[in-house]
Amino acid sequence: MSKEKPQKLGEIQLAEACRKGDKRAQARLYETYGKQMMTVCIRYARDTDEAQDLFQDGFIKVFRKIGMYDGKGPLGAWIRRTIANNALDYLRKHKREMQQVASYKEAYMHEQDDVIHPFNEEVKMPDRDRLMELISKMPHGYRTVFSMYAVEEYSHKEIAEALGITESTSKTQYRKAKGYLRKLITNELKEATGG
Amino acid sequence: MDRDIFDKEIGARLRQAEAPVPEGAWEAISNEIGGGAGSSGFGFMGAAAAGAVMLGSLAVYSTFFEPDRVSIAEKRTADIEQTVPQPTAAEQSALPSSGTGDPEPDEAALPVAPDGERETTPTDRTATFEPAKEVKAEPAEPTEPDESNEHSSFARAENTDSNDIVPHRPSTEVLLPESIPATAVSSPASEAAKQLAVAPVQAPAEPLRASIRAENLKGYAPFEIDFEAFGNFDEVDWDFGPYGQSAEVNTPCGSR
Repeated sequence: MSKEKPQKLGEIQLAEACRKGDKRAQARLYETYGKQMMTVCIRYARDTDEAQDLFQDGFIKVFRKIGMYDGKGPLGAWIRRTIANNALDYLRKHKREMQQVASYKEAYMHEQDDVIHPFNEEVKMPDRDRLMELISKMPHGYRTVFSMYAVEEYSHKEIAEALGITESTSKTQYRKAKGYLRKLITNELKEATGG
Repeated sequence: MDRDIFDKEIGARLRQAEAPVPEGAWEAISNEIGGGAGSSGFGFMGAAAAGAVMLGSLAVYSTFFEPDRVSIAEKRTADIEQTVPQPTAAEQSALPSSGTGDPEPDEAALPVAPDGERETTPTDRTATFEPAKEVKAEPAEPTEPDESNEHSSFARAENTDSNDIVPHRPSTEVLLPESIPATAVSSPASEAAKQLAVAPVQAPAEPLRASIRAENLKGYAPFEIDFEAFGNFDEVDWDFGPYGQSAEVNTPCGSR
């Protein structure tokens, strides 16, 4: 597979070619966005096998719904949303997310608010691969809400509807998830600096 | 809750993150969409093509087979009307009694009567029965005529071959006696056919009429009375009671 980006062939033309069943266009789209979409699946899945299933099913849906792409936004964002929606459908079907959200709500009830404070621009961020590793260490309920809000840019209202929770719960979960990640990043940075 | 810089920064980084795709995933996806999204258009086109083939087949069938059916029905109708006296019995005997068999009678069964019984000329016979040779039926001996069978035979012949093209009509409408010459009636196919044929085609008989005339109705005896019979009959038998009898058609009784 080549590393060609779809600049030569515009995103709309690429999507149209995929819709018409052009195998080369489909392969190009897969090459271009496959690895990024795999991270989406990893963030929502419980394990690697589940992530692979979500990835495969998600891309099948992408190709089957590619005709719905209207070209108003980046093709990558549309694919990401489609993959994420597929993953959320999976979670909703298995009614797993609500249970985990509830359990984590109790488990981390003891956390102190002073531990969670806003990050500022001076916070040094780990690279994206390391960040993914840290994300994978988050409890699944946190990870889901955090990914939906911070990465896929769902609103809390959308998250609440998707996961069957209240909007307030979504905000609370995200706040705690961000604090949890902050701790991980802080510890990561301390280890990196030897402090 | 507005997204702060942390949210935006970490979100941007995570969106650019990549992970190796599982091996064989593309093949599985490609195979799946090969029968789905990729080929959905082809599937539709295939269904459309299949539909077009079916319509084409129907058109071909209608073009090449429907006219035959029409022509057969027309011929059959023509045969029935032309050969009412003879083919009626032949068709009746040729068609299976159940009415579900092959409606086309065999050539051998059609009005080829025993040579010794032929009364019509070969020309007449040919002219009368040749169209019916295209109709096939099981060979069978002429059977005793049955009016109900005769009727059903006609009805079956029409309904079986003509379908909707030739509507069912009562046999009395088919038998057009006034258009059939008397020579055709005398065909020797069978006595049954003859009887069936004669009845409808018999020339309208002049009604028997007896005329009794007298010039003088009043006065003294004797009176002269003329007894006269009119019509087709072989013999007459006048009975004058105590004054005697007479077998003459025209009997002037004189003074009685």
